[in-house]
Amino acid sequence: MATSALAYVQGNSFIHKLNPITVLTYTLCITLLGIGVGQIWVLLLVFVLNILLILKAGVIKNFMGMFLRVTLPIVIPMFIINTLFYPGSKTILYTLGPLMIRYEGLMFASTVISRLLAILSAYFLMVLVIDPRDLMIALGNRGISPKVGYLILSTLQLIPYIQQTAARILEAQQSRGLSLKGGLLQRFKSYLPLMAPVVMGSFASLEIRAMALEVRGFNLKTKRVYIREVFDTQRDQFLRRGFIVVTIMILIVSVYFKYFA
Amino acid sequence: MKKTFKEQLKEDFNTTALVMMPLCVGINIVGQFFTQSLRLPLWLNIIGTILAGVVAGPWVGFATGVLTNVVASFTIEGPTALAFAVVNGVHGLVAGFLAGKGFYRTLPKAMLAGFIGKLCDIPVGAPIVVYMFGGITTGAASAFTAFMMATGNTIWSSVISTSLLIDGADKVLSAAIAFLIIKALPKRTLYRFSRAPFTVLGEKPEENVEEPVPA
Repeated sequence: MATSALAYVQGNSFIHKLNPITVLTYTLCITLLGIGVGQIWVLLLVFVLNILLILKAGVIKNFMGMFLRVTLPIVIPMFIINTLFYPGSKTILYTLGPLMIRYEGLMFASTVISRLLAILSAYFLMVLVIDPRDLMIALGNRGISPKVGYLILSTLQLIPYIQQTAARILEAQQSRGLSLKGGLLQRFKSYLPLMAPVVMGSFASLEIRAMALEVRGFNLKTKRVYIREVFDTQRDQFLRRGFIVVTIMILIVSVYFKYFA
Repeated sequence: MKKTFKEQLKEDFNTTALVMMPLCVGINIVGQFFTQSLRLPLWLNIIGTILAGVVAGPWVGFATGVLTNVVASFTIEGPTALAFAVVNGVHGLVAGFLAGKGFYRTLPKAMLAGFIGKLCDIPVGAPIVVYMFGGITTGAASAFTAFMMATGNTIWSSVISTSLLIDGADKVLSAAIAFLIIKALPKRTLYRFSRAPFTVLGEKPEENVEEPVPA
């Protein structure tokens, strides 16, 4: 099975050097824009901007692979289904046998797709250029409990391990005669003998892990220091304020044109 | 004396719970891996979320669900999962709440709780599916949505009925499996969580004033 490696790609671009919080702010601003703005061309412009940033960060290769794999299976069927079957649509652009291309469906699909592209590309940018470890440290510096950081980072570490365990158990049970084929009911019956060892195995180590953390001062209230350092420069602060101001301005203008002009 | 909300939260998120949450995320992910290996037409990817909700309360369940999708979006799976983080969380929240009412002590009631969880996730999940993904997510369920739309239903009723029929079965089974897992956990482990003595073993909270002795 494919183990889920981190999406993060090391790099030396100016985006990589930004404080993770700055990139996070950018992504959240784009999310707000994507939800708030209804004009297709604005959304596409945001998408192009994200692509330019991804190019600048030098992660376009990784981006294309992930992005196409994730979006194509959603975007193509969605476009076809909505264009042909959008309910309650009156304007018919073109008739092809029993199928009709519907204007409302086309518009709905285009809006949803451009929104999806705009928002998703920003998140892809974020997960490609931010090292989760740095993000947790930056959040910790801003007063977020280090326990949140522990949760996310230890989960990221645990996942490849537990996936390997799962693959091993799958093979072990098959070698004992467990069948992965057969009728639906038969396959359902095979589920528990696979799941139970994974769960029991991981819960067995639970107490030991909890105690190990406690004796290492996990619950102390003191300020933590980190072996890695994350810097918050003036440029970061300037950029963050800029993102927020620009987002609010675009939202106001967009809502104005949508409802009042 | 009744505990305040903050005190209760602190008790729920004890060290054992914090260690368990990543494990439960792992269970979610492995659950889905096995359904794919067995080519089952379901997901079964919220078993860990339900588990966390039952043994450590609704908020730990909610956090586990959100954590699953947040972490998945940092891997090469890509960040689409982030859109459904809250949906996953809702299942933990509902499971935890219903467990507090004693739903996870018998199998039929646990399955009912799974279905109630599904009902509660619709107002959260359906708008995301319609507005963000135009009614389509990957998988067999989308073909059903397309069929409903083609036969003249609105996009909303198509998405909701798909979600009820196919996801409903999925969540009922997930709850049943979570119940079986919880039943198989040793008592010693259960006593390390804030809620499990009451929700699983049925002990009154007042009787359990003694702190579990660390081994």
